[in-house]
Amino acid sequence: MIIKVQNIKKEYISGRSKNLVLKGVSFEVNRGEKVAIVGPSGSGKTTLLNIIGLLIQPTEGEVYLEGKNVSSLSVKERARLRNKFFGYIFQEFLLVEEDTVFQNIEIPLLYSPHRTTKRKRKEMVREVLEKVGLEVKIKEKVKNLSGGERQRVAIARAIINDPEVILADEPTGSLDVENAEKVMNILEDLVAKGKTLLIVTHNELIAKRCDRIFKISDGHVTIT
Amino acid sequence: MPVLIKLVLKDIRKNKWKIAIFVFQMLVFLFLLMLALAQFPMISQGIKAINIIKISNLIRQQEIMSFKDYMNIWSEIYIDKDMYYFFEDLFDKGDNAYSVMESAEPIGFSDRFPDVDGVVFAVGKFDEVFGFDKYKPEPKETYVFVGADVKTIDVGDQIELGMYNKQTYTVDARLKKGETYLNKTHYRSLDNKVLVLTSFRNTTTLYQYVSLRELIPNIHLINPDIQQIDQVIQMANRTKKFALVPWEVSLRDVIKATFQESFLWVMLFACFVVSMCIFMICGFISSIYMLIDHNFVEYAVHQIYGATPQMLYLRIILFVIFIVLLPAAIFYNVPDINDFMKVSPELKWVWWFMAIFLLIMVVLVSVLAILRLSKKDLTEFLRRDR
Repeated sequence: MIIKVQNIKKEYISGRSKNLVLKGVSFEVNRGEKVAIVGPSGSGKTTLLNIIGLLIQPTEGEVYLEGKNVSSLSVKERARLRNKFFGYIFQEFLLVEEDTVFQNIEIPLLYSPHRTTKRKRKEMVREVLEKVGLEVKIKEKVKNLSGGERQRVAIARAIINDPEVILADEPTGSLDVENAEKVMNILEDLVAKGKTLLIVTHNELIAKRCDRIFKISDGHVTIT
Repeated sequence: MPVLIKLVLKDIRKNKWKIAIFVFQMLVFLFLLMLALAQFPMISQGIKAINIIKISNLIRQQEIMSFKDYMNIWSEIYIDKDMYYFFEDLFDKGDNAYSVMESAEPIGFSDRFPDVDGVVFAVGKFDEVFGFDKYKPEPKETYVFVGADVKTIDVGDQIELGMYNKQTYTVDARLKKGETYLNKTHYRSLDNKVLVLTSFRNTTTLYQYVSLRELIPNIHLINPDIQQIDQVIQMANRTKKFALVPWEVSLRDVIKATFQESFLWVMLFACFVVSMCIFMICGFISSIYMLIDHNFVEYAVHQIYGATPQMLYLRIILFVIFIVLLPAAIFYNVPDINDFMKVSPELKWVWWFMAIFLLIMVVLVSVLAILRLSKKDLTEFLRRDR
């Protein structure tokens, strides 16, 4: 078991109104597993993914990574864990448009506890770009890339630090069928190499390609 | 830290034209600020002058007359016995005249005492008019005082004065800070000067006709009668060097008017300086806000992949420091500007004022930038329904 969430609750407060999005979610994910998180819009899929990825704090409940409770870690420790344990992929890519492909992908390396020279970073970036089929675009500015290429750059950035878990939030949501297939193939290759994948999706076909499906409805998770 | 510096350099590269424009604006601003601040000592001069009016009964209660002087540059000064005795009586025996010789430093004096800005010989009732009686230790013919800011000469030191004849004098006292006198309508600070109170006879013995070139046109008479004014004008005319015209301007009124004018100028410059400072700070803040808004995706990505909020704050602070330090470093390294601010003790504070202003600017802009960034919540940013 690589991830365990226990009784997670998350409440958003907007002015006077409170919205309890997650009402005590608990589940476990095993190493090398491919899990889809599905549910209607606003059901809390992204929120759950961000809580697992230590990007936001739950209102209540605990998250365990490799058996260790990480809910009460300091800001610095959480940042360190985000850097080495997770790779994040977002529907809107979250790339720095004016920067080059290299500058975007090297970001996780800059905060890695293992110092690397620029030469080494270039080597590593080239390696991951080969994996996603974009090695010729290393000096290209992100703003000049197509949607599919951008998402592959985002995947390259997510895996450059060799994380244990890939968190993908609608990774194919902004892509056409062909590019979506390419992205899914890359992600499945990573799982085949032992990585764990949690993927938020609306797409039933993608969900069906996963080992398990967590369906969120009314703040609760049903596992199928 | 090396990562942060690398990222700050990237921010600088990305914003190089904006920074170049800002640096240019900042340099112009610092230059204008320096010029504006340099006007402020005028007010202190004015206050000193008002103090003279307060402390001096003679100026407060009586009119002092000076003369406009016209000099014949083609003629050497002529003086005979009668003329000499007239001026000697006027200053050394009379009780209503004074004069000053303002360029009395001997050759090589400024090399030995670089912080002395001149030696002033004063004759007649000068000491009574400007209240220098209090410094006199015992009755004697000549007293030597040093200004408050003179460091190379101390009380008890001996200095040699004179041009054609030389005489060594012991320094009797140190003047208090802010001592001033008036020559016609000009204030003269004594803080960096050596003041010699002596007789007309002694001054002319030491400097001969050179001293007459200054003592005659600088004659001041206190409540003179018409006959005395006529005599002074006649004697001055006989030198073939000078023509004096009575200048019936009340020194008291001149001081007040000049003080008011100075005050007005200072107020004007103060408004200018304050509005310039506000303008620069507001401009800088809005530029930084735009940078933060523009870079927010980048900040979010860095935070997702391992940067703490503190690292982002530090990155912005380093960027702000660089932007302010660059024009400041250029400005403070222009030799003429540096000399301008350091050459006069009255302007040294301008250097410090500007340095403190820049520091305040860095702190203020950094704090506001951090507040701006901290309000942009990563949690909110990551919600797709935002």
